Amino acid sequence: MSDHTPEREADTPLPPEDARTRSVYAAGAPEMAARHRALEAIWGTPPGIPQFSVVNHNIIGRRFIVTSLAFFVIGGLLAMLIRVQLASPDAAFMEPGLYAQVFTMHGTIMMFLFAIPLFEGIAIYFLPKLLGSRDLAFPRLSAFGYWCYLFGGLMLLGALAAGVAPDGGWFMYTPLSSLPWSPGINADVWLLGVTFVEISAVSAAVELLVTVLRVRAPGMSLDRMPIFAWYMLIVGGMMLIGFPPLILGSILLEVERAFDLPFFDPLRGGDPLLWQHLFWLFGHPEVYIIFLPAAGAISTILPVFAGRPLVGYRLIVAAIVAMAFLSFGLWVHHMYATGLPHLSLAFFSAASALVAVPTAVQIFAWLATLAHGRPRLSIPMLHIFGFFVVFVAGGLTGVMLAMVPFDLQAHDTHFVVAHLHYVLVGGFLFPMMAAGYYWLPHFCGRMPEGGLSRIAFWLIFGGFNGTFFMMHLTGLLGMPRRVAHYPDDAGWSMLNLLSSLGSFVMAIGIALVIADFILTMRFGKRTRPDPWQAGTLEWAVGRLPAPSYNFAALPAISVRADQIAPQNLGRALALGQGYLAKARNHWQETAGSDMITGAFEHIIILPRQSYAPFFSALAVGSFFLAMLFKVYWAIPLSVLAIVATFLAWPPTTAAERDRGLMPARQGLDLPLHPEVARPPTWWGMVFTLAADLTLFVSLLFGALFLWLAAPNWPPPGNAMPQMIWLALAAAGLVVAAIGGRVAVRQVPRIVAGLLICAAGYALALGATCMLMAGVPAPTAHAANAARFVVLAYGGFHAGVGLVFVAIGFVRRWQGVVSARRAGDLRIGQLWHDYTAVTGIVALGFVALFAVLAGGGAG
Amino acid sequence: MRRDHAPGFAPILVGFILWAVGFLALYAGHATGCELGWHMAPALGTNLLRLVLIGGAVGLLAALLATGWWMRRHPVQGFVIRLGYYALIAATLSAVVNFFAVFWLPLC
Repeated sequence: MSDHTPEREADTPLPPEDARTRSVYAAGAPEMAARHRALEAIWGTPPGIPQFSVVNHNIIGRRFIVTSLAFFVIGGLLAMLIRVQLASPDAAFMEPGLYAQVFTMHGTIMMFLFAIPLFEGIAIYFLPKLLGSRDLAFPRLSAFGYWCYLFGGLMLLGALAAGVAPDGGWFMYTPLSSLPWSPGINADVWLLGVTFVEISAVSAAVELLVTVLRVRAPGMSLDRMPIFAWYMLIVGGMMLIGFPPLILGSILLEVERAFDLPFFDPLRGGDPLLWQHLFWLFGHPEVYIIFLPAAGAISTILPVFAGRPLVGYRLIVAAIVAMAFLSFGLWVHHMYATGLPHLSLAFFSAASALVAVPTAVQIFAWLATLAHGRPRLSIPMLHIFGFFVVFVAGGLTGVMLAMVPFDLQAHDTHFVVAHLHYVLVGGFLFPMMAAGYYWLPHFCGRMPEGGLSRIAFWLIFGGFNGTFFMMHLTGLLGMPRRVAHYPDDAGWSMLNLLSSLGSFVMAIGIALVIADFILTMRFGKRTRPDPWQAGTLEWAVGRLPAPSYNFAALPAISVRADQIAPQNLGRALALGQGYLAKARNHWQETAGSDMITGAFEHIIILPRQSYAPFFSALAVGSFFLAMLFKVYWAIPLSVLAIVATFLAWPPTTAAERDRGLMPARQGLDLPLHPEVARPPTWWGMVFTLAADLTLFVSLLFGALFLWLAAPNWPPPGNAMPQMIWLALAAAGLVVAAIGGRVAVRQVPRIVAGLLICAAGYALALGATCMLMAGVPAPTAHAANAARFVVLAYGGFHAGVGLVFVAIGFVRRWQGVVSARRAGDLRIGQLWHDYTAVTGIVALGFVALFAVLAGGGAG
Repeated sequence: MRRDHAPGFAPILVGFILWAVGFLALYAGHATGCELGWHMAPALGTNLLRLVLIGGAVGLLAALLATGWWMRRHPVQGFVIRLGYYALIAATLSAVVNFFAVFWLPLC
């Protein structure tokens, strides 16, 4: 993988304090090389076709980054088309329909296909290294997420090439995106393509959470975690809660468009505002989901160039916790103009202003770090300077827009466009360029030189402000967003021309950055493993580019993990002085730790290369394509393919028999993860269910919102569900949960337990089908549609529960289940318990909703 | 086999979870009250909706203060607890700023 041989490393100049380590290193070179070869044989992936089976986080992370940058270039080219169109009044460059596709795709690509995947890629690549681990908790899930992202993105790009791209704005407001007003497949492309991509985001959220909490180096307690890990932990939690409302909204709108269930049709008890609520429940936290990883990069990079540790580590963690929660209390500030009561607006206006406080805490902590240190104005710092200027300006206009009276004046004008670009470019693009320059040596082992990169920075900085500062002015002069033409006498012409010129300057700067990166990777000067004299673990990998296994041995952490000496530690680890230093049994081993103390609790054996994630993503893609092209007969086949490919994910290695304690290093024996009560997969299911619960609660919220706020209620011809079916469905779910517990707690009776579980689900599914059949005409009114969908939610979970039962049987048949190795059953139990609780709530809700909708009299 | 100590994060999260629950309850309560006409039902010198909202806001504040009092009575040292204090203080101040308008703003 690397041609950066140990001999060459030994030749690089070292600081005087490393002289002793250097001699040890030179003496141990043959042993180190042998260890490298042994580990590379286990963790590496051969070239060619096996690249489709890659699960290693180094490669998956790089793929995410490169793919997202490709989408960034495409999104940027679309932005330039927009600026060409707006450079002069009444331009004939694009007709309004095409212009709508271009600005919709620009926003969609930048938000969903560039920003989120880029930080996911950075997190996937760097988190294990920063945490002193060899990989993420669920490598196959990362690979699956990548393929979903790629296929979903290609689906959107394919539509753009075919001239049927989404054209309703990146937030797809109804009724514009409803079938009568968007009869083509454009809106379907957005709803299905983005949902496909969001599978990747939710799987990344689960991955990040479990990795940060459970897959850290021994001794890395919470207060020793690198600050970037704190950011990603909180971002993972936000993604878990933030994305399900959007996924639900997309499902409901697609169901309305495809099957005429009228959730957003006011003539039949629906409400277009429901879409806005669901979208912005995701959409506003999304801004912080994008900003926080960038802030995490700043908190990592800035102390290195300030030459002192980050000031206010604990306060910053508290601030990002506050930010995470407050960001969920702002969604209505995108809806000030929808006629909500003053008091409601006050709640959201106050929260919108409040969120500036934890942001400011971070800004001041960074300034204090700079003030107490001796800053070096290197290339990454130049971009951080750009961040400070641009993001603070964007934050201040954000506080202006948080005030209801001002927002009502500036609503839907270019002022809002300017604000969001100052926040997103300032809060994400500049920090990411800083991160790009900072971490570039990690990817290629070569240093950026500086000349070209400084010119590029000033072009981007100047071009950006030239472009978007003008939009504040055109916005204040009343120029609305999303219009292809404007009149010559409006007084906006010169400002728009300047704005367009600025955008081309910025584009030249971006092109120079890309050229600079390519030139550095090709011709840059080779560097040693810690080029910036940083204090974090990613520079302790021993060689650059990092080997596929990251660390030849895992470190013991006894100080905060941004204050280590990577060179010394890296060499010690390369010499095998740490945990899990010996390659054995072709296992991919890493440490499983306590989430609070970081104590080494068990040895995690990670799955090796597998084609299953690729084929699972293809199967999921076939489902979305069948929906898009309305080939509904193929949907059951797609579902079967999805189930079959997921069942083909090979069982975790080393679970064929109980192995007891295994040596982790001299004098320390620990169990393997399949033999502990709560392995990473258990936590993965807990977080997956948390996302699922958010979707469920959003669904109930949506139904109650319609009951409360939508016109044309109550529905005509409502009817109460039959109590017998409600009772049988609830009983079936309880029986299934009991069966699941019997299977786990009395493994000798696993077959009996699984049979009980299956019988329970069969009963619940049958009764649910009867209830669904009893819902009067779901297409006639949103009340009926809501009841139908809530029941379908319960039925879907019962169906998946049956799949878990099948997995239990397969595991039993394979002989990989014992009292110690009951992980699959425990995961199944979580699902069964969740299905029972939410299913019973759903059944109760359906009955209650029928009463609320007026069915009590029926 | 050691069981995980799952509540370890509770001190960090409790303040803002209370804030979030209060936020949703007050927002949903306000929308429901307006729709059902509670603002037109007189109660204790004001109207039912304002009374409900004031009760909710004061209850939330009381819950946050009680949590702070409880945390002070169990002074376990450590990073998580200290972090929890910071987050609780932030949540309490946020609740005051967020909801003081229930006392005086027009309701529906």
